[in-house]
Amino acid sequence: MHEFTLTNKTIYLAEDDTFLASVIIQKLEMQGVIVAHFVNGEECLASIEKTLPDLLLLDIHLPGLTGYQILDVLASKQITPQLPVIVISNSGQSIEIERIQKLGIRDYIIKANFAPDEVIAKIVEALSTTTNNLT
Amino acid sequence: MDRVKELENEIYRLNAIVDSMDKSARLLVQRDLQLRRANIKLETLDTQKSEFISIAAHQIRTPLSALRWSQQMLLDGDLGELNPRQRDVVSLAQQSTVRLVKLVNNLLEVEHLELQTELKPALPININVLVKESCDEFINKATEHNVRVLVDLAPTPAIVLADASSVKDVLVNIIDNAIKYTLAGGTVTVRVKVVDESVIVTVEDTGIGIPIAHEDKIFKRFSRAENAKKVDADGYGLGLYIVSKIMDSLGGTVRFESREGLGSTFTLTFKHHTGSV
Repeated sequence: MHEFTLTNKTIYLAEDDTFLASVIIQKLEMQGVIVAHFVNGEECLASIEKTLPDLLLLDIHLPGLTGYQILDVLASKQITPQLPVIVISNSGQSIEIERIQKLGIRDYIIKANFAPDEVIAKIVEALSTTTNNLT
Repeated sequence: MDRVKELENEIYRLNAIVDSMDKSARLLVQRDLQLRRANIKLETLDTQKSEFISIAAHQIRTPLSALRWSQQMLLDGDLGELNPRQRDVVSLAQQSTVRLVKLVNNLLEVEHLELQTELKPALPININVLVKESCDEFINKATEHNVRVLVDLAPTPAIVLADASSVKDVLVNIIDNAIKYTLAGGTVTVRVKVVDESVIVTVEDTGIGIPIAHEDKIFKRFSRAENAKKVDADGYGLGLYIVSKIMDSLGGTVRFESREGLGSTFTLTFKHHTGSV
Protein backbone atom coordinates (compact mmCIF):
# COMPACT_ATOMS: atom_id res chain seq x y z
CA MET A 1 0.00 0.00 0.00
CA HIS A 2 1.59 3.29 -1.04
CA GLU A 3 1.01 6.77 0.32
CA PHE A 4 -1.43 8.96 -1.58
CA THR A 5 0.29 11.84 -3.38
CA LEU A 6 -0.96 15.01 -5.02
CA THR A 7 1.77 14.99 -7.68
CA ASN A 8 0.40 15.75 -11.16
CA LYS A 9 -3.15 16.18 -9.87
CA THR A 10 -4.97 19.08 -11.52
CA ILE A 11 -6.78 21.55 -9.31
CA TYR A 12 -8.84 24.50 -10.49
CA LEU A 13 -8.77 27.39 -8.04
CA ALA A 14 -11.53 30.01 -8.31
CA GLU A 15 -10.47 32.85 -5.98
CA ASP A 16 -10.69 36.57 -6.71
CA ASP A 17 -8.27 37.67 -3.99
CA THR A 18 -5.00 37.47 -5.90
CA PHE A 19 -2.73 37.59 -2.87
CA LEU A 20 -4.54 34.77 -1.12
CA ALA A 21 -4.64 32.84 -4.39
CA SER A 22 -0.87 33.20 -4.80
CA VAL A 23 -0.32 31.75 -1.33
CA ILE A 24 -2.58 28.76 -2.05
CA ILE A 25 -0.98 28.21 -5.48
CA GLN A 26 2.55 28.19 -4.02
CA LYS A 27 1.54 25.67 -1.37
CA LEU A 28 -0.18 23.41 -3.90
CA GLU A 29 2.62 23.62 -6.46
CA MET A 30 5.08 22.56 -3.79
CA GLN A 31 3.04 19.35 -3.55
CA GLY A 32 3.42 18.80 -7.31
CA VAL A 33 -0.13 19.92 -8.10
CA ILE A 34 -0.90 21.53 -11.46
CA VAL A 35 -3.01 24.57 -10.59
CA ALA A 36 -5.19 26.62 -12.92
CA HIS A 37 -6.30 29.87 -11.30
CA PHE A 38 -9.46 31.81 -12.19
CA VAL A 39 -10.45 35.19 -10.80
CA ASN A 40 -14.02 35.07 -12.08
CA GLY A 41 -16.75 32.46 -12.23
CA GLU A 42 -17.38 32.48 -15.99
CA GLU A 43 -13.83 31.49 -16.95
CA CYS A 44 -13.76 28.83 -14.27
CA LEU A 45 -17.03 27.24 -15.42
CA ALA A 46 -15.99 27.39 -19.09
CA SER A 47 -12.75 25.57 -18.25
CA ILE A 48 -14.52 22.91 -16.20
CA GLU A 49 -16.93 22.27 -19.07
CA LYS A 50 -13.96 21.90 -21.42
CA THR A 51 -11.70 19.74 -19.20
CA LEU A 52 -12.55 18.31 -15.79
CA PRO A 53 -9.85 18.87 -13.16
CA ASP A 54 -9.25 16.37 -10.35
CA LEU A 55 -10.67 18.85 -7.83
CA LEU A 56 -12.19 22.33 -7.68
CA LEU A 57 -11.33 24.80 -4.90
CA LEU A 58 -14.15 27.30 -5.12
CA ASP A 59 -14.67 30.65 -3.44
CA ILE A 60 -18.37 31.49 -3.11
CA HIS A 61 -18.17 35.26 -3.47
CA LEU A 62 -16.75 35.62 -6.97
CA PRO A 63 -17.33 38.48 -9.40
CA GLY A 64 -19.64 37.59 -12.29
CA LEU A 65 -20.89 34.06 -11.79
CA THR A 66 -20.89 33.33 -8.06
CA GLY A 67 -19.82 30.06 -6.51
CA TYR A 68 -23.49 29.24 -5.92
CA GLN A 69 -24.28 29.66 -9.60
CA ILE A 70 -21.31 27.51 -10.60
CA LEU A 71 -22.43 24.78 -8.21
CA ASP A 72 -25.98 25.02 -9.59
CA VAL A 73 -24.73 24.51 -13.14
CA LEU A 74 -22.43 21.65 -12.11
CA ALA A 75 -25.32 19.94 -10.30
CA SER A 76 -27.76 20.43 -13.18
CA LYS A 77 -25.26 18.97 -15.67
CA GLN A 78 -24.53 16.01 -13.39
CA ILE A 79 -20.86 17.05 -13.16
CA THR A 80 -20.74 17.29 -9.35
CA PRO A 81 -20.66 13.52 -8.69
CA GLN A 82 -17.47 13.20 -10.78
CA LEU A 83 -15.80 16.37 -9.51
CA PRO A 84 -14.90 16.81 -5.84
CA VAL A 85 -15.54 20.41 -4.83
CA ILE A 86 -14.16 22.09 -1.72
CA VAL A 87 -15.68 25.47 -1.03
CA ILE A 88 -13.36 28.07 0.46
CA SER A 89 -15.17 31.02 1.92
CA ASN A 90 -14.85 33.55 4.67
CA SER A 91 -18.52 33.93 5.40
CA GLY A 92 -19.10 30.90 7.62
CA GLN A 93 -22.79 31.75 7.96
CA SER A 94 -24.78 28.59 8.61
CA ILE A 95 -27.34 29.62 6.00
CA GLU A 96 -24.55 29.62 3.38
CA ILE A 97 -23.13 26.30 4.54
CA GLU A 98 -26.56 24.62 4.48
CA ARG A 99 -27.29 25.99 1.00
CA ILE A 100 -24.09 24.72 -0.57
CA GLN A 101 -24.11 21.37 1.23
CA LYS A 102 -27.30 20.61 -0.67
CA LEU A 103 -25.34 21.12 -3.89
CA GLY A 104 -23.13 18.10 -3.29
CA ILE A 105 -19.85 19.69 -2.22
CA ARG A 106 -17.16 17.61 -0.53
CA ASP A 107 -16.04 20.08 2.13
CA TYR A 108 -16.36 23.67 3.36
CA ILE A 109 -13.44 25.68 4.67
CA ILE A 110 -13.51 29.04 6.41
CA LYS A 111 -10.19 30.27 5.09
CA ALA A 112 -9.17 32.34 8.09
CA ASN A 113 -9.69 29.40 10.45
CA PHE A 114 -7.37 27.00 8.66
CA ALA A 115 -3.64 26.73 8.14
CA PRO A 116 -2.36 25.79 4.65
CA ASP A 117 -1.38 22.27 5.73
CA GLU A 118 -4.90 21.64 7.00
CA VAL A 119 -6.29 22.71 3.61
CA ILE A 120 -3.86 20.36 1.86
CA ALA A 121 -4.99 17.57 4.22
CA LYS A 122 -8.61 18.18 3.24
CA ILE A 123 -7.69 18.10 -0.45
CA VAL A 124 -5.81 14.83 0.04
CA GLU A 125 -8.78 13.40 1.93
CA ALA A 126 -11.22 14.43 -0.81
CA LEU A 127 -9.04 13.11 -3.63
CA SER A 128 -8.04 9.85 -1.95
CA THR A 129 -11.69 9.11 -1.15
CA THR A 130 -12.63 9.79 -4.78
CA THR A 131 -9.82 7.55 -6.02
CA ASN A 132 -10.83 4.78 -3.63
CA ASN A 133 -14.41 5.04 -4.75
CA LEU A 134 -13.41 4.69 -8.35
CA THR A 135 -11.11 1.75 -7.92
CA MET B 1 -38.25 47.01 6.19
CA ASP B 2 -41.87 45.76 6.28
CA ARG B 3 -42.05 46.75 9.94
CA VAL B 4 -40.82 50.27 9.15
CA LYS B 5 -43.46 50.66 6.45
CA GLU B 6 -46.14 49.31 8.76
CA LEU B 7 -45.20 51.84 11.47
CA GLU B 8 -45.13 54.72 8.97
CA ASN B 9 -48.65 53.82 7.83
CA GLU B 10 -49.71 53.74 11.48
CA ILE B 11 -48.20 57.20 12.05
CA TYR B 12 -50.01 58.56 9.00
CA ARG B 13 -53.31 57.15 10.28
CA LEU B 14 -52.74 58.60 13.77
CA ASN B 15 -51.87 62.01 12.31
CA ALA B 16 -55.29 62.14 10.74
CA ILE B 17 -56.91 61.33 14.12
CA VAL B 18 -54.87 64.07 15.86
CA ASP B 19 -56.51 66.75 13.74
CA SER B 20 -59.87 65.93 15.27
CA MET B 21 -58.76 65.98 18.95
CA ASP B 22 -58.58 68.56 21.74
CA LYS B 23 -55.23 70.11 22.74
CA SER B 24 -54.10 67.74 25.59
CA ALA B 25 -55.08 64.59 23.77
CA ARG B 26 -53.33 65.93 20.69
CA LEU B 27 -50.16 66.55 22.73
CA LEU B 28 -50.21 62.96 24.04
CA VAL B 29 -50.63 61.48 20.61
CA GLN B 30 -47.87 63.72 19.24
CA ARG B 31 -45.50 62.49 21.98
CA ASP B 32 -46.44 58.94 21.11
CA LEU B 33 -45.68 59.67 17.47
CA GLN B 34 -42.28 61.16 18.37
CA LEU B 35 -41.42 58.04 20.36
CA ARG B 36 -42.44 55.77 17.53
CA ARG B 37 -40.35 57.77 15.05
CA ALA B 38 -37.35 57.55 17.40
CA ASN B 39 -37.95 53.82 17.72
CA ILE B 40 -38.02 53.34 13.96
CA LYS B 41 -34.78 55.29 13.68
CA LEU B 42 -33.14 53.16 16.38
CA GLU B 43 -34.29 49.92 14.77
CA THR B 44 -32.92 51.07 11.41
CA LEU B 45 -29.61 52.10 12.96
CA ASP B 46 -29.37 48.79 14.79
CA THR B 47 -29.93 46.84 11.58
CA GLN B 48 -27.36 48.98 9.75
CA LYS B 49 -24.85 48.47 12.57
CA SER B 50 -25.32 44.70 12.48
CA GLU B 51 -24.98 44.58 8.70
CA PHE B 52 -21.85 46.73 8.91
CA ILE B 53 -20.22 44.47 11.51
CA SER B 54 -21.12 41.37 9.55
CA ILE B 55 -19.78 42.70 6.22
CA ALA B 56 -16.69 44.24 7.83
CA ALA B 57 -15.85 41.02 9.67
CA HIS B 58 -16.18 38.93 6.50
CA GLN B 59 -14.07 41.36 4.54
CA ILE B 60 -11.42 41.42 7.26
CA ARG B 61 -11.18 37.62 7.24
CA THR B 62 -9.88 37.52 3.66
CA PRO B 63 -6.66 39.55 4.15
CA LEU B 64 -6.24 37.81 7.51
CA SER B 65 -6.34 34.44 5.75
CA ALA B 66 -3.59 35.53 3.36
CA LEU B 67 -1.49 36.81 6.26
CA ARG B 68 -1.98 33.65 8.29
CA TRP B 69 -1.22 31.34 5.37
CA SER B 70 1.88 33.19 4.20
CA GLN B 71 3.25 33.38 7.78
CA GLN B 72 2.69 29.65 8.18
CA MET B 73 4.54 28.95 4.92
CA LEU B 74 7.48 31.00 6.19
CA LEU B 75 7.48 29.09 9.49
CA ASP B 76 7.22 25.75 7.68
CA GLY B 77 10.35 26.63 5.71
CA ASP B 78 8.46 26.40 2.44
CA LEU B 79 10.20 29.55 1.21
CA GLY B 80 13.63 28.73 2.63
CA GLU B 81 14.90 28.24 6.17
CA LEU B 82 14.55 31.18 8.56
CA ASN B 83 17.23 32.09 11.05
CA PRO B 84 16.15 31.99 14.73
CA ARG B 85 15.53 35.76 14.90
CA GLN B 86 13.44 35.76 11.72
CA ARG B 87 11.51 32.75 13.03
CA ASP B 88 10.73 34.57 16.31
CA VAL B 89 9.45 37.65 14.48
CA VAL B 90 7.27 35.66 12.07
CA SER B 91 6.01 33.53 14.94
CA LEU B 92 4.95 36.63 16.89
CA ALA B 93 3.30 38.07 13.78
CA GLN B 94 1.38 34.84 13.32
CA GLN B 95 0.23 34.77 16.93
CA SER B 96 -1.20 38.26 16.47
CA THR B 97 -2.89 37.22 13.24
CA VAL B 98 -4.51 34.18 14.86
CA ARG B 99 -5.59 36.37 17.76
CA LEU B 100 -7.24 38.79 15.35
CA VAL B 101 -8.97 35.91 13.54
CA LYS B 102 -10.32 34.75 16.90
CA LEU B 103 -11.60 38.24 17.71
CA VAL B 104 -13.36 38.56 14.35
CA ASN B 105 -14.89 35.08 14.80
CA ASN B 106 -16.09 36.03 18.28
CA LEU B 107 -17.59 39.32 17.07
CA LEU B 108 -19.46 37.48 14.32
CA GLU B 109 -20.70 34.91 16.83
CA VAL B 110 -21.89 37.63 19.22
CA GLU B 111 -23.62 39.50 16.41
CA HIS B 112 -25.30 36.30 15.25
CA LEU B 113 -26.48 35.44 18.75
CA GLU B 114 -27.83 38.93 19.39
CA LEU B 115 -29.68 39.10 16.11
CA GLN B 116 -30.97 35.52 16.37
CA THR B 117 -31.82 35.73 12.68
CA GLU B 118 -31.14 32.06 12.02
CA LEU B 119 -32.76 29.40 14.15
CA LYS B 120 -30.58 26.33 13.98
CA PRO B 121 -32.55 23.08 13.82
CA ALA B 122 -32.52 21.01 17.02
CA LEU B 123 -31.78 17.31 16.63
CA PRO B 124 -31.24 14.54 19.20
CA ILE B 125 -27.51 14.46 20.02
CA ASN B 126 -25.46 12.41 22.46
CA ILE B 127 -23.57 14.80 24.77
CA ASN B 128 -21.12 11.98 25.64
CA VAL B 129 -19.92 12.00 22.03
CA LEU B 130 -19.56 15.78 21.84
CA VAL B 131 -17.69 15.94 25.16
CA LYS B 132 -15.29 13.22 24.03
CA GLU B 133 -14.71 15.00 20.68
CA SER B 134 -14.20 18.36 22.39
CA CYS B 135 -11.71 16.95 24.93
CA ASP B 136 -9.79 15.18 22.15
CA GLU B 137 -9.34 18.52 20.39
CA PHE B 138 -7.44 19.81 23.42
CA ILE B 139 -4.99 16.91 23.86
CA ASN B 140 -2.09 18.90 22.40
CA LYS B 141 -2.91 22.09 24.28
CA ALA B 142 -3.24 20.22 27.59
CA THR B 143 0.10 18.48 27.00
CA GLU B 144 1.78 21.81 26.20
CA HIS B 145 0.36 23.32 29.43
CA ASN B 146 1.20 20.16 31.39
CA VAL B 147 -2.42 19.89 32.50
CA ARG B 148 -4.08 16.49 32.91
CA VAL B 149 -7.57 16.17 31.41
CA LEU B 150 -9.80 13.45 32.87
CA VAL B 151 -13.04 12.52 31.16
CA ASP B 152 -15.86 10.69 32.92
CA LEU B 153 -18.79 10.08 30.57
CA ALA B 154 -22.30 8.97 31.49
CA PRO B 155 -22.71 5.16 31.29
CA THR B 156 -25.81 5.56 29.11
CA PRO B 157 -26.33 7.87 26.11
CA ALA B 158 -26.86 11.45 27.34
CA ILE B 159 -29.31 12.64 24.73
CA VAL B 160 -30.42 16.25 24.38
CA LEU B 161 -32.40 17.99 21.67
CA ALA B 162 -30.17 20.76 20.35
CA ASP B 163 -28.03 22.03 17.52
CA ALA B 164 -24.76 20.07 17.78
CA SER B 165 -22.50 22.89 16.59
CA SER B 166 -23.88 25.27 19.23
CA VAL B 167 -23.37 22.72 22.01
CA LYS B 168 -19.86 22.07 20.71
CA ASP B 169 -19.11 25.82 20.80
CA VAL B 170 -20.16 25.87 24.47
CA LEU B 171 -18.10 22.82 25.43
CA VAL B 172 -15.01 24.02 23.57
CA ASN B 173 -15.18 27.43 25.22
CA ILE B 174 -15.52 26.01 28.75
CA ILE B 175 -12.86 23.30 28.33
CA ASP B 176 -10.47 25.75 26.65
CA ASN B 177 -10.85 28.16 29.58
CA ALA B 178 -10.33 25.38 32.14
CA ILE B 179 -7.05 24.30 30.53
CA LYS B 180 -5.90 27.88 29.90
CA TYR B 181 -6.43 29.00 33.49
CA THR B 182 -5.00 25.87 35.14
CA LEU B 183 -1.33 26.08 35.96
CA ALA B 184 1.19 23.36 35.05
CA GLY B 185 0.67 20.16 37.02
CA GLY B 186 -3.05 20.83 37.52
CA THR B 187 -6.08 18.79 36.48
CA VAL B 188 -9.25 19.41 34.51
CA THR B 189 -12.06 16.91 35.02
CA VAL B 190 -14.97 16.78 32.60
CA ARG B 191 -17.99 14.75 33.68
CA VAL B 192 -21.29 13.93 32.02
CA LYS B 193 -24.22 12.72 34.11
CA VAL B 194 -27.85 12.01 33.42
CA VAL B 195 -29.85 13.05 36.47
CA ASP B 196 -33.64 12.72 36.31
CA GLU B 197 -34.73 14.92 33.43
CA SER B 198 -31.39 16.66 32.96
CA VAL B 199 -28.08 16.03 31.27
CA ILE B 200 -25.39 17.71 33.34
CA VAL B 201 -21.87 18.47 32.18
CA THR B 202 -19.38 19.68 34.78
CA VAL B 203 -15.94 21.02 33.97
CA GLU B 204 -13.88 21.20 37.12
CA ASP B 205 -10.38 22.64 37.21
CA THR B 206 -7.67 23.21 39.79
CA GLY B 207 -6.86 26.58 38.23
CA ILE B 208 -6.57 30.20 39.30
CA GLY B 209 -10.26 30.58 40.15
CA ILE B 210 -12.46 33.65 39.86
CA PRO B 211 -12.09 36.56 42.31
CA ILE B 212 -15.28 37.17 44.33
CA ALA B 213 -15.41 40.77 43.10
CA HIS B 214 -15.60 39.54 39.53
CA GLU B 215 -18.13 36.74 39.95
CA ASP B 216 -21.17 38.77 38.89
CA LYS B 217 -19.42 40.01 35.76
CA ILE B 218 -18.03 36.86 34.18
CA PHE B 219 -20.87 36.38 31.71
CA LYS B 220 -20.76 40.00 30.54
CA ARG B 221 -19.17 41.11 27.27
CA PHE B 222 -15.48 42.06 27.32
CA SER B 223 -15.27 41.24 31.01
CA ARG B 224 -11.96 39.82 32.27
CA ALA B 225 -10.72 39.37 35.83
CA GLU B 226 -7.26 40.70 36.68
CA ASN B 227 -5.85 37.25 37.51
CA ALA B 228 -7.09 35.95 34.14
CA LYS B 229 -5.32 38.79 32.30
CA LYS B 230 -2.06 37.83 33.99
CA VAL B 231 -2.30 34.21 32.82
CA ASP B 232 -3.57 35.00 29.32
CA ALA B 233 -3.10 38.56 28.11
CA ASP B 234 -4.63 37.78 24.72
CA GLY B 235 -8.26 37.05 25.67
CA TYR B 236 -11.14 39.39 24.85
CA GLY B 237 -13.70 38.40 27.47
CA LEU B 238 -16.26 37.20 24.92
CA GLY B 239 -16.14 33.42 25.43
CA LEU B 240 -18.35 33.12 28.51
CA TYR B 241 -20.74 35.76 27.16
CA ILE B 242 -21.15 33.59 24.05
CA VAL B 243 -21.59 30.49 26.24
CA SER B 244 -24.38 32.09 28.28
CA LYS B 245 -26.17 33.38 25.16
CA ILE B 246 -26.01 29.95 23.50
CA MET B 247 -27.21 28.16 26.64
CA ASP B 248 -30.13 30.63 26.85
CA SER B 249 -31.02 29.94 23.24
CA LEU B 250 -30.89 26.17 23.88
CA GLY B 251 -33.13 26.48 26.94
CA GLY B 252 -30.31 25.27 29.20
CA THR B 253 -28.33 26.90 31.99
CA VAL B 254 -24.72 27.59 32.85
CA ARG B 255 -23.56 28.29 36.39
CA PHE B 256 -20.28 28.14 38.24
CA GLU B 257 -18.67 27.79 41.63
CA SER B 258 -15.18 29.08 42.22
CA ARG B 259 -12.57 29.91 44.82
CA GLU B 260 -9.74 32.16 43.82
CA GLY B 261 -6.47 30.25 43.80
CA LEU B 262 -8.16 26.85 44.14
CA GLY B 263 -10.17 26.36 40.98
CA SER B 264 -13.57 26.59 39.33
CA THR B 265 -16.38 24.25 38.36
CA PHE B 266 -18.69 25.18 35.50
CA THR B 267 -21.97 23.29 35.27
CA LEU B 268 -24.00 23.08 32.08
CA THR B 269 -27.52 21.72 32.35
CA PHE B 270 -29.54 20.54 29.36
CA LYS B 271 -32.99 19.02 29.21
CA HIS B 272 -32.70 15.23 28.79
CA HIS B 273 -34.36 13.94 25.64
CA THR B 274 -35.66 10.42 26.00
CA GLY B 275 -35.73 9.63 22.26
CA SER B 276 -32.87 8.07 20.31
CA VAL B 277 -30.03 9.71 18.34
